[in-house]
Amino acid sequence: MKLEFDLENVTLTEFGVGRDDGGGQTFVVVPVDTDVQSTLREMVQATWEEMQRDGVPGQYEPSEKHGATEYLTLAIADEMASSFRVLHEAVNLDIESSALDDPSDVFCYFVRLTDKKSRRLTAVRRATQFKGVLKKRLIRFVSDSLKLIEDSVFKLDNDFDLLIDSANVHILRPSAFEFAGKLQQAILDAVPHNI
Amino acid sequence: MTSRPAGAHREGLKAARLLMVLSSTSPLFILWAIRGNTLIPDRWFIGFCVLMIVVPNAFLWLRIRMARTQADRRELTVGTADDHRDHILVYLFAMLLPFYSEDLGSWRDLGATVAALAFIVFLFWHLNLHYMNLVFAALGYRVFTVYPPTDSNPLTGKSRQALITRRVNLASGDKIVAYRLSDTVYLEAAP
Repeated sequence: MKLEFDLENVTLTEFGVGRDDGGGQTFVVVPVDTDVQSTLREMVQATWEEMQRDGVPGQYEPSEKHGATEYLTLAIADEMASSFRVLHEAVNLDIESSALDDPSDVFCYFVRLTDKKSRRLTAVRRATQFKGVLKKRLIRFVSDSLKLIEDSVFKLDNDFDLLIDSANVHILRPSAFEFAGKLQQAILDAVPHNI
Repeated sequence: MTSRPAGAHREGLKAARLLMVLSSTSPLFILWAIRGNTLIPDRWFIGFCVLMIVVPNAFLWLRIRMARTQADRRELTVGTADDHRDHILVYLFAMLLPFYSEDLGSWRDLGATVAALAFIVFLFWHLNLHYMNLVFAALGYRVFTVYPPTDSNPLTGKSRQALITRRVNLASGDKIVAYRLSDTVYLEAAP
C-alpha cells in the first residue's frame, strides 16, 4: 500500500501531545527545536519501513485478534477511525509550551508533517515509555563517570504506533490504536460476530 | 475528544512579549532623545533612550532569528482575517502623541510620565498587542488578525492569532506557514 505523503520532502514538522486531565481529551502543539523535529521525522520513517516489512496490510477488524505488531489499515472515513480523523483534520491546534509541566496527564504524543504538495501526515504514539521514564532515575556519562540526570527527561520512542494520511489509518500496533481511539466498546460489540 | 477552551492555558514567552512591547515604544524614545530633557544631562538621557531603542529591537531581531534557526513555525489556516492597519492609529494615539507632548520639566512630571508609560506597556503586554511595531510597518508588513475556520472539528483551535505578513489580503482557506514570535503572534515565512 502507498502512503499519501512524500516522506522525502517534508516542509513542516509540528509536535504535540494528547492529554486526559479528567475533563476529556485535549490535543495541543508543543514547540520543539530542529533536533527533535529531525528525530520525529526519523521515527515516522522507521514506522513506515517497519510497515513495509510486513508486506501487504490486512484490514483492521475489531472482532479479530491481532498481533502486538501487525500492519493493518482502516479507511479514514470509517467510524472507528473518527478520533484519529478529527486529530488529522484539525487546524490551528492550540499551542501550549507548558503542556509537559504535568506529564502524568499525557496519554499520547503525535507529530504532524506537511509535504511539498501541502499534504499532511499525522503519526501517533501511545505515551507509555514517554511517561514511564519520568518515574525512573536516569543516569548518563559525564566525563568518564556516571551521573544522575536531575532534569525532567522525556524519552521518545523509536517509532510510532500508527500513521494517518488523507485516505487511511496505517496501524502498526493494533492495541495502541484501540487504546488511543477508545475502541474498547467497538471490540465488545464485535464479539458476538466472532462466536 | 474535546478542545481546550481558548485562552485556558498561560501564554508563554512572557519576557519575550514584554521586550517586543518595549520594542514598539522605540519611536517614542527616538523623539525624546531628539527633544532632550532639562533635568537629566543629555549624555545620560540620550544614552538611556538609545538603550531603550537598541536592546528591545535587538531582542526582537534575535527572536526572529531564533525562530528561523529552530524552524519554530507552524501552519495557520485562515477562517476569516481582519486587516488591522487601524491599530497603528490606536498605537499612535495611545503611545506616541500623548507622551511626546508631555512636559518633562520637573521630576514629578517625569515620574508621572514614566509611570503612565509603564501602565501602557503593561496593558499592551497583557492584551497581547506586542505586534504593534512601526519597524514592521516601515518594512512593508501588514498585521492581520486571523480567526480559525468555524468547522465542526472539536480540536480545531479557537484562538485568534496576529499574523505579520507582506500579503495585502488573506482569503478564507489560505494556509500560511509562519514563524512563531509568541503563542499569538506569527511572522509569515518567506515563500
